[in-house]
Amino acid sequence: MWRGVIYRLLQAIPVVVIFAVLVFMLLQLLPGDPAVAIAGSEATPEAIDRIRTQLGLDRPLLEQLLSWFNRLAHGDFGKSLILNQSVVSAVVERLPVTLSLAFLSLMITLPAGISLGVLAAYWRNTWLDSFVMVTALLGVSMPSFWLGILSVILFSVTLGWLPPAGYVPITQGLWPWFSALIQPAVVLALFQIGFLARITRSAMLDVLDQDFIRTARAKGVDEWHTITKHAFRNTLIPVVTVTGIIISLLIGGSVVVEQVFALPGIGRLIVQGILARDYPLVQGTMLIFGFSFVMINVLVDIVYMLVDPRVRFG
Amino acid sequence: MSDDLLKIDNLTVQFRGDAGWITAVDDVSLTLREGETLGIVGESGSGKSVTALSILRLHTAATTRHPTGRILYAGKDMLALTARQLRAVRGREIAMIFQDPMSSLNPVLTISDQISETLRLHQGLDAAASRQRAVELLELVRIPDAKRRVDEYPHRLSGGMRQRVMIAIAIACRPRLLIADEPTTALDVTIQAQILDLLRELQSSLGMSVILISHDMGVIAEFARRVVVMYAGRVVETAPVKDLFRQPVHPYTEGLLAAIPKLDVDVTRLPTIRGSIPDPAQAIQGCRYGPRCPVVLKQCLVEAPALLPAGPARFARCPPRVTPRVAPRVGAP
Repeated sequence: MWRGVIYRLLQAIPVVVIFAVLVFMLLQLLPGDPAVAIAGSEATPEAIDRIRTQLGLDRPLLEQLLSWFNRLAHGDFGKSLILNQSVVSAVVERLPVTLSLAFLSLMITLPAGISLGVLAAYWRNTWLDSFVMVTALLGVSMPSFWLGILSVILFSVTLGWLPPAGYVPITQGLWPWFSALIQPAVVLALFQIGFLARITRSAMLDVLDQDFIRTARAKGVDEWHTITKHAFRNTLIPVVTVTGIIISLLIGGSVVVEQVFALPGIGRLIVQGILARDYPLVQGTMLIFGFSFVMINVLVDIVYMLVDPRVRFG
Repeated sequence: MSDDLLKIDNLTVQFRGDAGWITAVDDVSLTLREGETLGIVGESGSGKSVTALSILRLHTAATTRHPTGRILYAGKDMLALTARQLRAVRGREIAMIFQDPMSSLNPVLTISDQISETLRLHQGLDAAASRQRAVELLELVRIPDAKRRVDEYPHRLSGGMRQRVMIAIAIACRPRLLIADEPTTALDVTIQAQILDLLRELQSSLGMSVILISHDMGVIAEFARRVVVMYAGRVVETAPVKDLFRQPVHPYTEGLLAAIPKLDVDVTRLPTIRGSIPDPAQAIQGCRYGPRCPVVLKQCLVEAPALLPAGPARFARCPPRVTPRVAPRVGAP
């Protein structure tokens, strides 16, 4: 088991390195001269040169790459051009917002998506199944920015139950934190619930047709335990895989939702960086995203080992 | 009769298909006495497994119906039991083992989990006691190193070992009736013999009645006392095993027996029954075996023959003929 964990962590290293190279190349591959783009059309040649030197763009490519890795290894992601602070501190400041949002959203998605999927599979081809599947399709089809706006109109403007925008740190109380985040979290979750419910349903249908389910029934196991003890654990491999994807989507999806609900998170930071051509900031946030996706996948592999003895010993 | 442990009367089983209900088992009756071993034989699609699964109602309820029939187990009509009553019979009074030991055990639960589950459900044993009993059961089905094996997962065991585990689960609560649905079909020939020996030994030591379902006449000859031959969802012949092998009455039984390779005769091609089993979705007029029968009579194609007495303790769904149609066979067990 531990060997497997270490093996997967080692496997992640080249992925992270390659991703870092790609992010580095971003600056090189962009059309035009980044220094000109940053300095603006009114800038003097001296100003452009200064920016070029500041970014290290005047040095040979390999040297730039090595110094990039050297800085990354020391935890130095550069300095934001617009925020007057280091990229690391900008990200650390905004990370709790995005993580809170993703966490809350996941806590809504997992129970809702899994139970809907299981119900639909157990009562396959009934009205309940159709209802769940149509609802799931609706959830997957509705764009989250549109849903977010509708939600704000209903719950914040018309009913006045929830704040329309903004973030309150959890240190200022659980309820203010929760009420600020619940709307974006639900909006973000709706898409994922539909996705997860569909995957859970099909995984469950596969398992329910297996011989060992018939064995369980022949032993006198009741329906509840047949589903929860015998069937559900066997659906966990696809469900865990999708949960990993969903966490990635939640973090990525926060780009749009943070915009709609004016949440000062990583998603907004990245948009801000792109609009202002703040290259160090974009590179830094992308690295954070990429690194967390790799880690999520490693975690998913480790969870496989926990849920399936065949993976654990295989 | 009061000593009938199981009595199936006129059972019909239908499944919902794309174009209405399809009859898989049609008007099947059979009885099993306490302690008896009954073999059900027939080729794929004959309805033998469907009949067996109906006893414990293991078909999907939503897509299965029984327009006629009763399944009386110890006086209880299985088809009329509530879900709770049914669960009390399953695994405790009637246990079942299945064809494919590779897929019949849950891959994510240990052997111990899967054996203890029955014990905890039906005998109220606690975790420690049921685990101890699981080890004893594994020893009873002769799994070497049972103490260590009990904590393994199924994928670490061979097919024969897994079938032994299935048997251990089945006998855990000392059931009165064991239904073995093709228990050796998925196994190697040498393992087959071991499993059959084990079943026979357990049957006599535990005093169980056994229904053995097989398409293999050799397995039936070795194991069963009385045989029910099924064809296309119907019983075509029922007889004590010796009589059946010595002198089959129904041409289908005869065809099955003729297809068994004989050690003392050198042939390059075994006799086969021409044609194949009819599609259950299609209605057939007259005898279902009619289109394949080498000695079919005109009347058979008009009206299906009834199951009639054909000698002591035997019945066949074939009209009596003026002269004995079938010559006594040599080489019967």
